[in-house]
Amino acid sequence: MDDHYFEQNLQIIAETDPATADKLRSARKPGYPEIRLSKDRLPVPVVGKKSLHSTYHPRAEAAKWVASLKLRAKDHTLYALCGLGFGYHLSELLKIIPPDRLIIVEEDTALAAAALANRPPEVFPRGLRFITGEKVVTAHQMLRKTASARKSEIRLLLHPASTHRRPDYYLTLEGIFRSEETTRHGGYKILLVSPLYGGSLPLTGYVQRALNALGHRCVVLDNTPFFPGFQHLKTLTSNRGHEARLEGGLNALLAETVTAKALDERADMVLWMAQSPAIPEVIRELQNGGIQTAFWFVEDYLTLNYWQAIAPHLDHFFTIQRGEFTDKLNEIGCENPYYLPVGADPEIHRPLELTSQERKIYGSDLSHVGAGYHNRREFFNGLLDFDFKIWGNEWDNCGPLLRVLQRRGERISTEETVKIFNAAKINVNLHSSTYHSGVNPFGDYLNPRTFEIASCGAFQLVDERAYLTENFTPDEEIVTFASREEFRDKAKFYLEHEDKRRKIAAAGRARTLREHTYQHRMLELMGVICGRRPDWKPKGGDLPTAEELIRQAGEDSELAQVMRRFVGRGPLTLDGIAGEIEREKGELTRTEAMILLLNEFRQWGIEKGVV
Amino acid sequence: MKEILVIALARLGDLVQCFPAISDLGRLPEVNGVDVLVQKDLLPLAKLHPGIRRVIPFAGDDLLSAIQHDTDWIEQGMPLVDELLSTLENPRPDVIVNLTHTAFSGKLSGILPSREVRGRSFQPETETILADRWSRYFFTLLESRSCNAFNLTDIHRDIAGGIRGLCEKPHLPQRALKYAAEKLRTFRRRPLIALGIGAHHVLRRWPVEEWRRTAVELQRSCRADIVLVGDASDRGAAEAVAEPLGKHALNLCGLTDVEQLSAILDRCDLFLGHDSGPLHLAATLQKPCVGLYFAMASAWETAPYVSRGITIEPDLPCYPCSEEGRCPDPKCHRVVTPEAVAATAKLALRGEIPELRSDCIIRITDFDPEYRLVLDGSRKEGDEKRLFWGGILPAVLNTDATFDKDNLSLYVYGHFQRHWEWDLQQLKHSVLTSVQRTLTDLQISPKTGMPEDPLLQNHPSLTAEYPIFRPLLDLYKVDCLAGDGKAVTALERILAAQDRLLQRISIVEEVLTSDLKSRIAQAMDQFEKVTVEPPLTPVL
Repeated sequence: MDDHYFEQNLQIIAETDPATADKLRSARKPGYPEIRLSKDRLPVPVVGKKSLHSTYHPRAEAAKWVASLKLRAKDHTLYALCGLGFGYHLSELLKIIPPDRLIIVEEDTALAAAALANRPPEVFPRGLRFITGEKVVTAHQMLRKTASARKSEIRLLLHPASTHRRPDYYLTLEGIFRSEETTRHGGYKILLVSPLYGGSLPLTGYVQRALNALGHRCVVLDNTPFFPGFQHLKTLTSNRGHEARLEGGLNALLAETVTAKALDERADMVLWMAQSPAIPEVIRELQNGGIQTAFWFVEDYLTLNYWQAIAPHLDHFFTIQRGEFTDKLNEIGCENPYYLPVGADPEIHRPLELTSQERKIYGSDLSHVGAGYHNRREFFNGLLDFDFKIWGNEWDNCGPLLRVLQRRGERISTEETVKIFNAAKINVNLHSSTYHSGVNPFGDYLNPRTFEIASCGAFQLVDERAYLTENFTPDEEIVTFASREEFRDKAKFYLEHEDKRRKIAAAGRARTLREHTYQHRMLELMGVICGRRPDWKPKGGDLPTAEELIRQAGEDSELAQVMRRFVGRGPLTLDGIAGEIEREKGELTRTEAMILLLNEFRQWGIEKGVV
Repeated sequence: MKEILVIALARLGDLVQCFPAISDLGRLPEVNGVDVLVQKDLLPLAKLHPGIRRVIPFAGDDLLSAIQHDTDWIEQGMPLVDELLSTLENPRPDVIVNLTHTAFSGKLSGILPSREVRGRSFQPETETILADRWSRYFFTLLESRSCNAFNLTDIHRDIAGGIRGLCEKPHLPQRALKYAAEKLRTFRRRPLIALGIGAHHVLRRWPVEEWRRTAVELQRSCRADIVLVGDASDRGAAEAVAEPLGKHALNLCGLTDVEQLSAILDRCDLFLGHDSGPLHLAATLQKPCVGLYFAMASAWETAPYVSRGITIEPDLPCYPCSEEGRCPDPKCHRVVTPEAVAATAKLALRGEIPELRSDCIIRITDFDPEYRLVLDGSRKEGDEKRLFWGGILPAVLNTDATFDKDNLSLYVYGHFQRHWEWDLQQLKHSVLTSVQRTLTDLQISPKTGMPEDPLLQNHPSLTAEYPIFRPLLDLYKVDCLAGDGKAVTALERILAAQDRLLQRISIVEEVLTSDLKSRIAQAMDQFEKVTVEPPLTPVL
C-alpha cells in the first residue's frame, strides 16, 4: 500500500515539479517516522516522541483547527501551509482553498515523503506545490517569488504540532514575513555595536549594509576610536591582575555607552558583534527599556570563553557552532541559541579585473591571507616548493615561511584582500587551530574567508569542515582537502586545469549569491527575533511625527496642510505618507505629487543600494 | 507651436539609443523645440545632438543624498523637486515623451502638466498608464523577448511618434577633436581600431584573454593600431589586452570624458566591442561597428543602429540567456572564438560583407525603406518567429486598425511576400512554426487557449491590458476547438489551423487594393497547387 500511494502521489507532483518529486523520492527513509494508528484507525506520525496529529481523531482535530482560522477563500491570497504532518489539516483546508493557491512548506523532506507514502492521492490533488527541505530563508524567497509572480498576497498557516516540533524553522519563517512587513514603514531601528579591533570588525560594516538594504535603519556604535586607549592600558602595568582590572573597567565604560547611544537613537534593538563590549548590567537595563538584545558570537567557543558571562542574559544569542556548544549554552541558562553562519558581502567581495601591475603584486599560484596560527605554520612549511604567497599578520618567528611572507606580515586591508583573492590561482583556506597540526579533524564552522573567496568568484582549496557540505557541494562548488598530501595533489591538479578552477569558482559564487550573503543572514536573524517576539513592533525610532514635519515645513505652507491629516499618527516615514496619498482617489495637488515623486526616487535608490 | 519634453534618464548607451527618436520629433510640424531631461553626468553627450534645444540635467545624486533619511526630506528633498518641476514646466510641455520606462519617470510624466504623454505615465487611480501601443509592446517585450524583432532604438522612435528620417550625426566640439588628434598623433599607420572591452554586466564581457588574442591577431594580420576605450573599471583589463601590442596600442579607459571619447571613436576606422555605451556611440557617429553579444544581450534588441553594422553572437540553444545574470558557466564566452571575431573584423574593416560562419551567428544591419533597422545574415532557429511578429506589429501598432484575425492573416501574408519574397511553401511553414513556437514559449494550452501554468495565467502579456498576443490566441483557440470538440492529434490541429488561415486570407482579399488583390489572387491559385507538408516537429 505504501509504495503504491507513494508512486501515485509522486507521479502527480512530477507532472509540474519533477525536481521536488526526485527530492522526495530520494529522501524517503524506511521506518521513519514512527507511525501509530489513531483510535479511528488512521496513521499518525510521531517524531521525537511528539505526535503530529491527534492520536484519537486526527480528522476532527484538523477540522477544528481549520475552523479556528476563519478562512475565506480570497481570490488573490496565496496560502502557505507550514508543516505537513500526514496532511489531515490539508484535506480540511482544501475544502475552502483551491489547490493551486496552496503551497506546502515542510522542512523535513523524509517526513513529507512518509506522508505521501501513507496517505492516498486524493489528499494531494493536482495543483498543490511543495517547498521541502529548504533552508528557511530559501523557503521565504521561494514563497515571495511565487506570490510576486501571481501578484498575490501571502498568508502563512502554521500547523501547531509541526511548529511545536520545529519552532526555529516555522516561527522564523513567519518572523521573516513579519519583519519584512515592518520595512514598509521604516523597519526597526537597530544599534549595531562594533568591537574595538579584530576579525569581526569588517563584519560590522557588512551587517549594517545588509540590515539597511533590507529596509531597517541600522546605526553603528563605532568603538574603534578606543583601540589606542585599550593598547595604552597594556603598557601601564606588567601586573596581569591589574591589567585585567583596567581592561574590565574600560569594557564596562564602553558597555555603558551602548545604553546612552541606544536611548539617544531610540533603538528597537541592540546587536553586538563578537568581541564588542557587553556586560549583564547594561543588557538588563536595555531590556527594561523594552529594547531587544542580541549578540552574534562569530567566534570559536573553544578559543574564547567570554560568552559564558553574557549569553544567559541576552534575549537572543547567535552562534556559528551548534551541537556541543548548544548544550553548553543551555547548561548555563542560555535557552535558545540560534546557529547563524557568517557570509559574504557581494558589494565588497566581488570579481575584479586587475591591472597587470596588480596581478604581479597580488598574484601567485597559491595564496593565503590570514593570521599565523600554529596549524597554518606547520602546514604551510610543506608547501614552499609552490609559487606561494602568505599575507597577513602574527607571523613572527615563522622560520622558512618568512621567504614567502609578504610585506613583513603587515595587516592587509579588506580592499587588498579582495584583490589577492582575485589574483591567486588557488586560495589556500586552512581554518585556524591552536591545538592541532595542519587540518583540525574536529573543525565544524566555516570562516568568513570561505564565503568571501567564493563570492569573489575565486578558487579555493578549503580544509574539510563538518558544516561544509550543507553550504557548498564539494567538487562542484568548492574543493576540499583533509591532509597535506591531498592538498598537494589537488593543488597540482587544479593548477594545470584552469577551466575546472573557473567552473567551480563560478558555481561557488552563484551558490553564495543565492544563499550566503549577509542580507540572507540578516533576513534570518530578524526573522528569528520577530518569530520569537510576535508583539515586538518598531517604536518608530528617530522617525518624525506629523507635528515635527509641519514645524519643518512651516505652519502656513501647503506642505503643512498635507501633513495635518497625519497628526496623531505617531512616527511617519516618507514611504508611509506617499502610500496613503497614493491610495486616496482624486486629483493630486502639486505638493502631493512632489511627495510621490520624491518617494519613488527614494525607492529606486533603496533598490540600487544607494540610500 | 508645440513644446516637447523628452525624458531620457538613462546610461550612456541607452541615451544614445534615444537620439534618433529625438531627431524624429524635431521633424514634426509645428514643433517649437525639443527639450531633453538627462542624467547630469551625461549632459555633455546630450549637447552633441544638434536637434535638442535645451538639455536639462537631472542631479540624481544630489537628490538621493537629500533624502537619505526620513527626517530630512522636507527641508532638503522637497526644494530640489520643486526646482526640477519648475524647470520642466517652463515652458510648459505640450507633449511629454518618456523613453526611460522606470516607475520614477512614469510618475514624473504623469505629474507634469501636459496635453499628451507618450511612454509610461501615471495617475493615482490606475498607477501606471501605457497610453500608446508601442509602450505596451515594450512592456510585453520584457516577458516575451524571444518573439521580438525590433531594435530598442526603433521602439523608442515608435513610442516618440515623430517623423522617421535619417539620423543626425552628433556635432563634436573643436576641443574634443583637437584632443583626439593629439592623443592619436603617433598612430599614423592605418587602420585604427577602437576596442570596447567593458560592459555593464560581467556576464556580457568576453574574457580578457580572448580580447588579448583578438587584438594580437588584428595587429598581426591587418597591421592595425588599437585604441582601448571604456571607463576606469575597464582599465586593468585593457592594460592586459594592450600589453603584447606595445606601441601599437593605447589604453584610454577611464581617461576620456564623453566628448573626448566621441572624438576618439570618430577618428577610428572600426569599433569592435561588446554591446555597451561605446558601441552605440560609435554607431551614432556612423562608424563601421562590430558588436559582440553574450548572455542576456541580444542583437535583435540592441544591434548597432547603423547601416552595415555587424553583430556576432554565440550559436547556442541557451542564448540569449534567461538566467538573469546568474549563469554559473557561461559557455557563450567560449563558443565565440578570437579567430572568428578577428576574421569578421578584418572584413568589416575592408568594407566587405563578412562570411557567415558555422561556429557563431553573424548578422548584418541595414535600414528598410521606413528607416527601421533590419537584420540580415545568419538565420537561427526561432528567427522566423521574430520575423513573423516583426512583419505584423508595425502595421498594427502604428495604425488604429482593429487587430482582428482577418487583418492578422493579411499582414502575415503580405509582409512575408513583400519583404522576404518567400515562396508559399516557406510562408506556410513559417507561419505555422511561428505559431507553434510562440504557444510553446508561453505554454498555452491547446484546449483553452490560456496558459497551462497557473503562474502564467496572470501573465501581463495575456491580460487585456497587453493585447499583443491575443489575436494569435484567438486564432489558435478557434482552430483547436474546431470540429466536434473531441480531442484531435496535434498534427491534425496544425493542419486545421493551416486550412483556416487560407480561408481567412480569401475573406480579407475583398478589402485589398486592386494591385495587391491581383497578386493575392495569383498566389491563391498557386496555393492550391502546393502540396502541404506537415511541419517537421509538431510540438504541441
